[in-house]
Parts: sequence; C-alpha cells; structure tokens
Amino acid sequence: MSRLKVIALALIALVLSPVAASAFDIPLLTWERGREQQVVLGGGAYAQKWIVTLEGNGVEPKTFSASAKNDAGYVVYSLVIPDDFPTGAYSIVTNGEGSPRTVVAGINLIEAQVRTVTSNLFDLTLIIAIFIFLTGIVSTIRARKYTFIPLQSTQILPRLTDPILDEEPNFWDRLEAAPYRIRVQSLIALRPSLLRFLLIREGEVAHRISKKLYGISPLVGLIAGAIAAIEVGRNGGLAATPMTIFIIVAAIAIGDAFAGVAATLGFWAIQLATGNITSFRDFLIAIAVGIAWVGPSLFAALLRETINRDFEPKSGRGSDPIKFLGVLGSSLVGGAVFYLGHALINSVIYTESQLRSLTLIHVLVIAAMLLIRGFADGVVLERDSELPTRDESFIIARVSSPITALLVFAAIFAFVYIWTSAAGSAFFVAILFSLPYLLIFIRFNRISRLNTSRIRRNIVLESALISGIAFIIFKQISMKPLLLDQRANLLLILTAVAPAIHALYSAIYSSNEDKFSFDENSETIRP
Amino acid sequence: MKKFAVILIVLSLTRIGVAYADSTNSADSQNYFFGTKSAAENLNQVLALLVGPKGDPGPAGVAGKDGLIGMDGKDGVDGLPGAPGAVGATGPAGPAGSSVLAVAFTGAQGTCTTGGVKFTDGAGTVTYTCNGLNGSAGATGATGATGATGPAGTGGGGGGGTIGYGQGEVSVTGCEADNKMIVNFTRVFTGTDFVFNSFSIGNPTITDGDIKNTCAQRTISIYLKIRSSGLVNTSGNYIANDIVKCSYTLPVAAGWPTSNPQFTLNSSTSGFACATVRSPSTAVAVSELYTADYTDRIGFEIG
Repeated sequence: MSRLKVIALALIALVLSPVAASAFDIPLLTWERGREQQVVLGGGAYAQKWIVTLEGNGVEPKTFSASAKNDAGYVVYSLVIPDDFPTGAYSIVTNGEGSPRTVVAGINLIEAQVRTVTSNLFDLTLIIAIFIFLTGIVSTIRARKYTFIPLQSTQILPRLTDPILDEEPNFWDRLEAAPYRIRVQSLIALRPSLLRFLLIREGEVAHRISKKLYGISPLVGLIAGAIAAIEVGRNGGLAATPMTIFIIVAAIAIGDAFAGVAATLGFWAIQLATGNITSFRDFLIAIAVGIAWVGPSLFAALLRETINRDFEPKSGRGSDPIKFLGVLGSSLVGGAVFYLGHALINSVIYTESQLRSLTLIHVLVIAAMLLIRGFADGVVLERDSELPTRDESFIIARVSSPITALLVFAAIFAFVYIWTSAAGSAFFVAILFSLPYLLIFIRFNRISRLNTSRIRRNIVLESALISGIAFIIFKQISMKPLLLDQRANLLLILTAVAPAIHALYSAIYSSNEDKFSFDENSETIRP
Repeated sequence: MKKFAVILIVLSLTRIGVAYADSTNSADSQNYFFGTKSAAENLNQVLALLVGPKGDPGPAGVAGKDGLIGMDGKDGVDGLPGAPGAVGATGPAGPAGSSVLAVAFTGAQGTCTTGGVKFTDGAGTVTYTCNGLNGSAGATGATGATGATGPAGTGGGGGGGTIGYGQGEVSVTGCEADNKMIVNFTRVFTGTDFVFNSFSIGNPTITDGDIKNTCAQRTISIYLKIRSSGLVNTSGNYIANDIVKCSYTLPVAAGWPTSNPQFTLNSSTSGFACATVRSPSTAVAVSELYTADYTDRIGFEIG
C-alpha cells in the first residue's frame, strides 16, 4: 500500500510540475491594500482591447480601469484596492482580443504600511478641494460687503485707554479669578487680527453663560487635549486610536474655540513629553490635529456672519430663514474642516495595522454640533444681558499677513514633500497654493476698464465653484496614461491654478472697491 | 498661551534635531522630515507588460496516414412514393336493368296526406313523392301612385319676390301677363345717413322686367315697416312700429314709356305720396325715410 502511495504522489508531482514551472516564469509582486495599484501594458496593447483583472483568494474578480493611450501606445490600468479587501495571494490576469486568457503576475496583497495620500487620488482630491474652498473664503471675504463683522462683547478686555484701578484683592480672590485673568491676558497678547476677533467672538457665549465657565473652559480644553494624547500613546499610535476621543475634544472646541486652541497645545505638549515628536512629520500631525479641533469652530463662526449677506433679507414675520441657512451652511463647512484635519493626519501617518476609519458619520456629528452651537449663538447673544458690553466689532482690513502666508507656504511645502518625497515639486506646488494668501495683502490701483461692480460676490458659491474644478481635473487626470505619482503631481499643480486666479480676481475686485486711487476718487483728497 | 505655543515649537524642533542627530545607525537612520519608516521597502511595484507582435503563421503540417476501414452504416430512410400506374382495361357489360312504375294519386296514401305519386320498382319496393300544403296569406301591398292634376282654378292673388335697397324683381300676378316686373329703390347719402330717394317701376331692357299696360289705372302700393326702436329720424313724421305706405296710380294704357325705368316715383312725381298707416295718419316724404329705420321688409301691391 505504501508503495502505491509513493507512486500516486509521484504522479501528482508530475502533473503539477508544469504549473509550478509556469508560475516560476511570472513575477511576484507585493501590494498594499487601501491604495491605487497600476499595471502598464505597452507594445500595441490598445489595439487588442485588453482587460486586466485581479483574481483569486475566493473573491469576485476586480477589473482595472484603462486610461487613454499615450504617444508610445502604452495604456495604464488602475485599480483602487479598498481598505477592507481580503489580504492574501492573487493573480493578475489579462484577456485580449485574439489572445488567450493569461496569468501575467502573482500578487501578495498585504495590509497598508506606508500610507500617503498620493496613493489614493480621490482622497487627495478631497483634501485639495476642501483646502481650495477655505482659500476661496479667505480670498472672497476681503470684499467690502463682508469686511464689517459686528459684535457687542461682554468680555471687557482691558485697553490702553482704560483707567488703572488700584485694587488690592486678597490671595484667594486672585486665585479664583486666575483662569479668567489668564484667558483675558492671552487674548490681549494677540495682535488685533481676524483670528483674535474670532476667538473673542466664539468665547462670547461661554462668557454670557458664566464668567467662571469662560475662565475654566481653556483649562478643560487643555486637559482634554492631554488626555487625547495619552490615549494615542495607549493605543500605540494615531492610526489605532478611535475617532471618539477626537470628536469629544472637537465638541469642547466647538463650544469655545479658545478651549480648542488649549486642547491642541495640551495634545502637543504631551506628545512632546512622551517622545512622540521625533520628525517634522510628527510636527505636522500636531498642526493637523489643531486644524481638526479649532478650524471647524473658527470657519463656522466666520461663515455664520457672512453667508446671510449673499441672500435676500429676512422675512417680515419674525422668522429669519436666511440666518438659518447661514447656520446650516457654516456647520457643513465646519464639518468639512474637521474632515480636512483628519484627512491630513491620515495622509502622513505610518500604519502597521488597520487604519482608523474617517467616515461621513463623523463629519455629520461635528456638523450637527456646530448646528446646535449656531442656534445657541442666536439665542444667547440676542438675549438681553445685564452685563456691560463693549463694541468689539471687527473690520477685516487684511485677512492675511505676510507671516500667515509664509506659514501657509511652509505647511503646504511640508505636507506635499512628505506626500511626494520630491522637494522641487513640493516647493512649486506650495508657491502656487500659497499665492492666494500672498495676493490677499496686495492691493492694485483702480482698474477702471474692469467694471467689477456689476458682479455680485457670493462667498459660498465662488468657493464651491473653484473647489468643484478640482474634481473635474481629478476626473480628467484619471483618464491619462500616467503612473500614480505622476498623476498626483499633475493634480497638485493643476488644481492650484483656479484658487490663484480667483484670488487675483478678488484682489482686483477689492482694489476697485477701495478708494485708494486718488485720480479716480478725487473726493478723498478734497478738503 | 502665545508664549506656551512658542515654547512648544522650540522644544519640538529641538527634539526633532536631537532625534535626527542621535540616529547614527544606518539600519534605523532617522530622516528629519519623514522620521523612521517602519514599512518594508520595495512595495507596490508597478507591473509593466509588453505585448509582443503577432507571430508568423507556422508551416503546413505533414499529411496523415489513411485510417482503418469503417464499420457498416445504419439502414437508410424510406424512399419517396412511386408514380401512378397505367389506366386499366374496359370491364364486362353489366346485367339488364328493371323499370319503375309511377302512379299519381289524391288524398292520403302512404306517407302523403294531400296526394302525390307512388313509385314501385322491379323488386316491389314502394316509395312516394307527396304534393305540398297550401301557403299562408301574403303581406299588405304598397301605396298606390298620386292621382292626376285637377282643373285650373279661377282668379289669382299677388306673388312673391326679392327686393334689396337697389333693385329687385318681384312676381306679380293678375294684371301682369308674365307675372314679373323690375322694381328699383334708390337712396342717397345726406351727409350723416342714407335716405330713400326714389322708387323705380319696370325695366323693359330686361326680359320680363317691364310692367305691362294691362295694369293701367291700377294703384301700386309700397309698404315699409319701421323698426321698433333706435330710429334715426326723430322728427316725428313716423314713429316706432309704424308702417309707411307709398301709393301711385298708374296712368292710362296709351303711351306708356318704353325706357328704363318706365316709372320713377319720388317727391316730385304727381300722384305719388307716402303716409303712415295708422289713425290719424301722417304724411311722410320719400326723402324723410331713412334706410336705417325700416325693418328690411318691403310690401308690394298692385290693386
């Protein structure tokens, strides 16, 4: 019997040996899931209308989408392999007209390990589109109709003109008032700017509810940020940390933007103290966490005050649908900023296990909280307050400063460099994307040939339009016979053009609105 | 807060610099920007394939050897039907036939009730052919033709006709032999409206359009019905719903005019006058009759 077994095994080996020999001839590749993978076919491949599929491992075959052919006749086949696609062994199979079905390569599909956003063009497009939308807001808001933002603040921030009261409270009173005093001192330390105004504006609700809440809120934010950093350490990195902790801190920041700033600093400090900041990449992660926490609140506050200026005035029956529209729109934009922050984090972290999921539900939760915050704003700020108020209304003379533009440039350069590992390309892209921020503080002489006054500005529509162009470019580039890194570079460069043109238009529009040209506006120099 | 942020930036950059400087081992060398990549190198290779051109057709193969002789095949299917055969020879003469006896009868016999014919063949077999029964009564006949025309009546009345503002032809019986004459009404514009101007009787230039002198010394009467409301003439000579009658007695038969018209009746015609038919009547001149005031109906009488 044992002899028969030996003979049977020998026969099986004989039968399988050609297959093994054939498999030995094909290449074996290692691919990560959760990114776009590509196969290039050349040598007249387009003539035979090849179909390339990923097959095996007991799953439904996935078909690669073909690009157009390039001048040399090469066609690039692309396939985005989902994050949850089963790992294991697969085959690349080709079928062409007049050619037999052929296995051309073996694939060992593994977990994502090195993840940059350029490995998935759609994710990159989303990040770019949201950034362009925010850039559009910054460019448009310099138009005259948006410049004045009224605020009657109960936060009496000391001014140079205020009389000096020589108080001598006791130690305990001073200790009790310390959080409030520290917060006020922190705000005073900031130069008058849009950021300072928004921090004051977003702290007004907390201040009107309770002065103690106003004082303690940053402390709560600081502790929450620190706890979030500890949670990240306990979970073995950002990639494995659930989104819940980030959403909880974001909720605190939505209630009070200054608490969000404190949370960012707390998170950063703990990350630094625990030795988790060892490269510039980690530094950028801290910035991205700050964007996700503080950004939603600040941008929502800005838009809440401006969206309603683009539509009809409120109805006469007491209700104000346009104000509701402003709150709703600003909440959605705030949710998008939260997504941007976390997408930036995901775009630079290294993962050794399943990447944390950033879903639409998370974004909608943030948007819902911003919606509640918007309504609370309306209720609390319009209620008669017994507290004395001071006019803290803000006129946006200059949305950005050279330092802001430089910081934006540096941040873009750093992120793009990490994505592409190409310093030259990153520098060029950073220049293009920071151009709107440089144009913001440039003012032209009046160009009378361009009658810009006929065109009405609309902050949301203009921003949506230029960010929508990013998706059109993405669609067009996806059809090009280019490798993934080439497509990413092209996408980064081309999408930067629309916001730059829009910023130029905004600069011309704003310059024509301003009365800085004495030739055109002689009344400004009349006695 | 601002100072705290600045301190954090300084400390972070210092920490990054220290980490970069500290990694002297080439195996885990620290990159200032990227840090230490934990992932293995050489992942996500792009698979590049070149499709070769189609090869030339191979040479023709060697012809094979003849095969073995095959086994017998199965039986075939049935053939088609054959053509019709030739006409056969004439057969022998048949036996002699026998005659049939027919006897007519009346009354009931056999299966008949009203008479018939009884047949008896050579074998003695009897058969009957019966007479039919009487039919039922027919339907009522069609209505007969119209009877002949009766004899002509005596005397005659006036005829009908059509008359517009301008000219028309009326049928006249009695004194007029051909029962027809031309009557013409003329009107004139006063500057504000139309009024009647004259009435013309007879036109010899048209066949049967003249008035025959057999009507001599007869009186021609023309009747006009006035509207019930909205009169143009408000002078009071005629009022709403009035009937205006214009009369003229034809002259003696000698020397009747033969030109067109034979008689023109207007305000200057002697013996011609118009008046309302009511009591007391009111005289109305022809030129006072507005065409808009009458009902478009004109009565004509020769009496």
